[in-house]
This record gives sequence, structure tokens and C-alpha cells, in this order.
Amino acid sequence: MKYRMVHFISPFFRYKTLAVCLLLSAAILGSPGCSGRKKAEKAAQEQREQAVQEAIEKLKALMTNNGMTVAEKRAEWNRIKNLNLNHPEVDQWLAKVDEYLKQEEQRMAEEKAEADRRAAIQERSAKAFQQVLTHFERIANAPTIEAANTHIQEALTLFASAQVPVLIVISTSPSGSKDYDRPTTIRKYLDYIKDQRRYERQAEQLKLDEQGKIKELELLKQ
Amino acid sequence: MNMSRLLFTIVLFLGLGGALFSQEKTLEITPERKRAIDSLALEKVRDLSRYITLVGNKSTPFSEAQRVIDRAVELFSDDAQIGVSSLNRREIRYFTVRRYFDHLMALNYDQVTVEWYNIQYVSDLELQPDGRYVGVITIFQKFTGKTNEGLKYEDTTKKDITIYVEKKQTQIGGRLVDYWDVWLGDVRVAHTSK
Repeated sequence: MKYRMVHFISPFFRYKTLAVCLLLSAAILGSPGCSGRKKAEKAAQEQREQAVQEAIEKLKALMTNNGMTVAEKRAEWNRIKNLNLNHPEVDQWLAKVDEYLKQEEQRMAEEKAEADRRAAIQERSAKAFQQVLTHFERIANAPTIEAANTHIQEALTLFASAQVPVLIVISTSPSGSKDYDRPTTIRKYLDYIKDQRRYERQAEQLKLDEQGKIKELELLKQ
Repeated sequence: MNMSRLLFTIVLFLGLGGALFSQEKTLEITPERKRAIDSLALEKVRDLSRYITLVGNKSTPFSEAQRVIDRAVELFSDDAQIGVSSLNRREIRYFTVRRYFDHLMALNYDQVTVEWYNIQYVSDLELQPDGRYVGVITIFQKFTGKTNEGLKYEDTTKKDITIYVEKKQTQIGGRLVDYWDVWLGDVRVAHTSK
């Protein structure tokens, strides 16, 4: 009987104890747990806000002359994009900077193409001047007038016409302005080499036409 | 009325003064530039020396000599004259540049050599009020003429050449180019000796 009573009361007590324990646990642990989560959420929110602000500042900086190359700026833009901040203001700045970088990349590509074009022209000019120098040397050292005249005719084939202007720089100021001798033509200059047996060995500038013929020659006086 | 006329005169005076001052300023040249121009003028005289040698040389073909004379004439001002002296006569004869070269070509020798040396400035290039620079270069000329019969004439002449330099502008390939035009004036005989 005693056993039955105990058996009858025991579950009651067990549930009661359990309920009390739960209440106590809720009282002890429940309240502080909620506050921590809020704090954590708040901290996470603040962290995200900070990340967003940093991203916006960095994106803004990419549109200024901050010492970074365009390639470096593009890498930084990619890094920020990959953060996937999903923030409207960040997305707006990402689009704006992307447009700016595209323009810069296009400008750089155009500059490179122009530099390549200039380098190609310079190379062709240098090659052409080497040929011109060879003829100058042959004319100056020709053993006879007939030989000199033959070399003059050969040299003229490199030029667009016998009237191609030849400028001779006699001095250059520190500011870059040049002083020239009286301008002449290639025909007269080749005759001058034949008569005087001397010539200028340095080209200041050589312009070629579309057919690759020299259309203007600027020499530097030694 | 008098006051406004006075004001007009002052403004005109200041304006003209400023214009003259700025012109003077632009014509002044740096020592480096001056050296380059001096050197260029000396080179023109050396060029002339070579042209005289070529024309004097009896082995130079006629057509070549004519072309060289054309180049030589371009070195001079239009009215320039060249003095010619001889140990055999007292007076100095002056020819225009083309006539001088014709005379040189026609000399009655079978072999002619003309050599110029000691080419140097005796009067530095000086800026003139008209904006030109004028100087004098002196040269010594050794002339030798020989005939096949063995006759030989030889003299040494000191000559003074007036040099003019002026900054000019021309258009080349669509752009304006400033250049220093150097040309020669009279070639005067200073003295002739054996």
C-alpha cells in the first residue's frame, strides 16, 4: 500500500519538481540569454554597417587619384564586389565605380595603342634614317662626281620628292625651343654633302608618308 | 581738349616705348644661342671657301661649277661684292658674286688652287637697331695659279667678310618654323702679299 502511495505520489512530485526546475532555469538562465542574443545581433548589425561604410569609402577612393593603378583599382573593386554586402548604397557605388573604371581602362587601352603606334613609327623612322645615313656617307666619300651623283639619285628614292624640306637644328634651349639654320630641300642638302664632303649624323625627326617615303627630315648639327 | 591731347601723347609714348622694349627683349639672345649662331656663320664662310676651291679647280665639270656658283650666290646678299687683288696691280677690283665666280672660272691658268685659312671673327656679331646682327669675319686666302708652260703666280690675301644674321620665319609642312638666316655681305680685301 505504502508502495502504491509512493507510486501514486511520485510522478506528481516528479512533474512538480521538473516544473520548478524549469521555472528556476528560466529565471536563472532565460533572462540573460535573450539579452546576449540581442547584443550579438546588435554587434553583428554594427559590424555590417561598418563594413558597408568602409566599402563605400573605399569605392569612393577608387574614383580619385589615390596612387593606385587602374589594374589595382579594378582588383580592389572586385574584392569589394565579392564581399556581397547586398546593400543598395554599396551596389550604387559599385555600378558608378565600374563605369568609371571601364572608361579608365578604355582610355588606357587607347593610350597603349597610341604608344605602340608611335613606337612603330619611331622604329620605322630609325630604320629609314639608317638608310639615309648610309647614302650620306657614300655621297660624302664618293671618289668621283659621277659616283656622288649616282648615290644622290639612289638616296632620293627614299624621299617623297626632291623638294622634301630639310631642317637643321643648330641649338635647343632648356625650354625645348629649337633654333634652325635656313631651311633647305633634300636635293640641295645632298648636293651640299657632295660639295662640302660632310653631313649631319644625327636625326632629330623624320616623318614618313603612307608609302613609307620620307616627307620631312630634321637633322641635328654636331 | 588740351588735357585729352596730353593724355593721348602720354599713352602713345608709353605704348611705343613698351613695344620697342619688348622687341629689344625678344631680339636679345642667350650666350648658348649666340655661340650656335657664331658657329653657323663661320660654317657659311667655310662653305664659301669650299665653293671657291671647287669653281677654281679646272677639273670641275662646267655644269657642276655652274651649280656650285648658284649655291655660292645663295650665301650672299643680292648686292654683295667680292674684292679681287693682284700683286701685279695696285687697285682692287670689286665684282658681284656671280661675276666673281665667272672671273674665277675664266682665269688663264691650267691649274688653280684657292685655299682659305685662319677663318675667325674680327668683329663680334652685334645687334643693330634694325634687328639684324652684324659682324666681320676675316680670312686668309692663298691663291696659286699655274700654266702648263711652268708659269706660276702666287699670293696671300687677307679678306674681311661682313656677316649678317637675322631671325626669320617660314612655313614648313603646315607649321611655322623660326630660323636664323645667315648671309654674307661684301668681301673686302685688307691686304695682299707674296
